[in-house]
Amino acid sequence: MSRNHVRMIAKTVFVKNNNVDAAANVLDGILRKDKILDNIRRNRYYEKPYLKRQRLSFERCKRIYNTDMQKKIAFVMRKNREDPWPR
Amino acid sequence: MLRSILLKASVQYANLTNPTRQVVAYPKQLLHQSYNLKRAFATHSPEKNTPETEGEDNSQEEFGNELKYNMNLGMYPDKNISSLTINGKSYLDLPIVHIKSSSNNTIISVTEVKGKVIAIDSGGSVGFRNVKKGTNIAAQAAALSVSQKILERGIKIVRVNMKGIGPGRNPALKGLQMAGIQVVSVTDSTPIPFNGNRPRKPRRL
Repeated sequence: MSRNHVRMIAKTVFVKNNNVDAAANVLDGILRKDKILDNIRRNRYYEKPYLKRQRLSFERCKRIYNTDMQKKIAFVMRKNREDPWPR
Repeated sequence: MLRSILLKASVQYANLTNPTRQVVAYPKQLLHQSYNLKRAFATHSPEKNTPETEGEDNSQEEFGNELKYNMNLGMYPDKNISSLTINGKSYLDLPIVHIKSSSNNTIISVTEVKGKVIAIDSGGSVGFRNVKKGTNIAAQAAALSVSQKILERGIKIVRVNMKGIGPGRNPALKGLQMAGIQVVSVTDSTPIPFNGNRPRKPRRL
């Protein structure tokens, strides 16, 4: 590890108005988006290749299902409006 | 009849508990409304410095926490980081607080830029043992202890570097803040191998 390298540039968040909690939350959000925390948890114990394949396939199916369900919900919500022919 | 008794009693109670505050006797019709009961105990004169509050140093909280940056900061550092100064001191020369939080312990060490340790404390050094070292209370205690050591040295402005994911990660930050140390930036440097060493096998409980 090069100690002459300027540290603390990546994954750094500035604290504004002494609001340390907000900065920590922003940092958490970044780590979550880049899936860094997930990877750390997963790397705690070794995940064998067959388990990894199973997990990836499960995630892909879940993603497909979720996007289709979101589209369906959006479609159905469009029809859930006030009665256009009130009497 | 009952109302007047209650009113007198509430006024007397308020006068007993806070002799310096003036309590206004409230009109009878409004006695049973809860928000007006609050007003019955409220001050109607400006609060003066009572002997209880004189010891607290309130002026620092109002005026001492403003940091002077020499440029407008965004959320994240960019290539101009080497020219950033805070209260006249370069950002890259600020001491660093390293918070290493594992599942069983948190170690908080304050170092200078090059790495020389100024103060160090951990869950174990503040008196916790074994399982209790890896708790949020231990992390907060360690942070408070380190902050006291630092404040004696005159270090108030600091940047934080966090390593590891454990129960002590956020409580340690909180402890630093509680002790009065001003945090300028928060970094994360948990070690991420690009598929390096193979971790241990999964536990079977």
